[in-house]
Amino acid sequence: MSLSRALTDEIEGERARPDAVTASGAGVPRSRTSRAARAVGTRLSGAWPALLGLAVLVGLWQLVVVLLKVNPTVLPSPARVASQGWMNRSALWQNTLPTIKETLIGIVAALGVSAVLSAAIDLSKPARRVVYPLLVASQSIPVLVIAPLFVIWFGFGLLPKVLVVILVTFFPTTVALLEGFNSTEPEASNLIRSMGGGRFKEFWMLRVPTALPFFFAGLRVAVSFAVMAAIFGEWVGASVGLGVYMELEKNALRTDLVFAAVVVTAALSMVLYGLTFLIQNATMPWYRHSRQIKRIK
Amino acid sequence: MTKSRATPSQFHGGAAIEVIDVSKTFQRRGEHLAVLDRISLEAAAGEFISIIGPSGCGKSTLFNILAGLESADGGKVEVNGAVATGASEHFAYKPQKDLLFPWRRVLDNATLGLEVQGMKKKDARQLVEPLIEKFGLTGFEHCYPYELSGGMRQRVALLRTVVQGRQIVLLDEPFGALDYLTRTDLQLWLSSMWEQFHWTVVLVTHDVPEALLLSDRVYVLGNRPASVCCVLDVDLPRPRGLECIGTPRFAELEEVLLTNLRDPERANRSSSIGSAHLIGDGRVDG
Ligand SMILES: Nc1ncnc2c1ncn2[C@@H]1O[C@H](COP(=O)(O)OP(=O)(O)O)[C@@H](O)[C@H]1O
Ligand SMILES: [Mg+2]
Repeated sequence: MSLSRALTDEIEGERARPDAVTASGAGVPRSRTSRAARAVGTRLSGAWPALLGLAVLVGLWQLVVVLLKVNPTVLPSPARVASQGWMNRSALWQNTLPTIKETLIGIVAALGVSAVLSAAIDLSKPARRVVYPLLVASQSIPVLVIAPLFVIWFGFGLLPKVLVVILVTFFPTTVALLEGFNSTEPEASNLIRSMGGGRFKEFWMLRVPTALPFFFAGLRVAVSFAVMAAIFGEWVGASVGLGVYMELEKNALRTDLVFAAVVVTAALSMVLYGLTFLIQNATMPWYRHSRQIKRIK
Repeated sequence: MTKSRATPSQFHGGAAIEVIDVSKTFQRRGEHLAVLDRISLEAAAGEFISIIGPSGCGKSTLFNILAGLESADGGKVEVNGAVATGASEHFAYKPQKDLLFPWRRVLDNATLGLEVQGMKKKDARQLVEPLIEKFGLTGFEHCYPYELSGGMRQRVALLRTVVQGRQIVLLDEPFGALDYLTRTDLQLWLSSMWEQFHWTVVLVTHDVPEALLLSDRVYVLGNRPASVCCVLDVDLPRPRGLECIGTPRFAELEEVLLTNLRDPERANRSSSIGSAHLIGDGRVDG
């Protein structure tokens, strides 16, 4: 409903835009704040079906557990998960913080790694020949095997978890960036060259901005694996974190608290996922609107 | 390479260019594709010349050679009498597509060339801002390209081209993708801009009236491999407006060009029409 209104507004805006040589400020597009507000509204109203679906699922689950009198150690009811989780909120929170820290540090480091790797591969032929195959090979290392080795090499601290996160997340963003660089129009490269720009100017002023939409697509893939990777890193060997918490509560047969930790994990992933959209809209304000117009055309 | 710092006065005037016997053959999967066959043409400083020819005959290839993006197999290019083959710094090139960068606002697209040349963004903006009004972009400086119509996009691309402060402007079918009315508007506008600034302009087009309306001289290229098959001096009085299109002289010149374009061979045989100068003959003036 509000989505369709937003779209018709775009069409009308387009039609109303004058193309007279004499247009002297009369047809300046509408304020950006109203646009932003509408965009947020669209996004929220778009989430309703998903929330409704989730509510139905949770309701069914509750119903089944209550009606069949399932043992809470086997499958706790959502209500029990919620209330027990709330009662143990401080322990949960204390174990969530380190996981957040590992995830964020890991993602940021992975971004650094993929920026350096993709730039090197894009800018230099030897790097393409040497690094690209290694990169692909790195993805065939089973995390299952390498994570315990990280613990042996680097101990029980922050580093091994961050490394697991990096290993799992740098690949999607690197590949996305490379694809993005390659999607640059050759004519646009020629334009920069005709202006006297060299390889590096072309890279900064053309290839990097061209790659941004690809990058964010890759980042979303990376982010959706990141929390899980951090938890796996903890599960292999740590003293705090959601991975440790789940393991302990599982051994204590507190399935309800395991589920509570899972809910926190899912929430973390979703927040991170949503953040990528916020960052994307902040860095590429031109992107969403130009795409909307294209879709209409 | 010296970094050219453009000043507003540099937006005026231009340099003489001479293209002498430029040839080009592409190698494609072992096959040779001869595209340009000893092309020669010239423009004095501040002249507006057009190159017209069937599509696929090698017009864009010639521009790529001038702009230093492609190397010529033979011949040379001279700017103000000095050899400038493969040297891009004399030419401001506007390729066929407008190629506006979607992430740059209108003003920032216009300053692209200056920034590439190493000028600070602020200085570049100061240089470009006075021209915004002349290019009919007032009020749109801070719009993104997706907010513009086709005609405005072309004007931004033209602005980006001329502010580079280079001596010769190369325009590759700048209005090819526009509707008739917008195109005519922009042709008249470009004509008036040129009369103010007197850039040296080389325009590629396949629109006969466009070539006549704008140019001092028209070079007709034949089919691939292209060579210049006809040179036509356009002696229509300036400034030229819409009314110029209705004059008998315009119609005469139009017919000469069309005849040469449609059948270069036959036109060559009966070479006495109009002011067409056919390669090998002496120049016939109106
Ligand atoms: N880089 C290239 N490699 C091989 N063939 C090319 C290349 N560039 C252009 N051509 C060929 O040269 C011919 C002339 O192209 P072009 O100069 O773009 O023509 P025009 O601009 O006159 O329409 C075309 O047949 C095209 O396929
Ligand atoms: Mg072309």
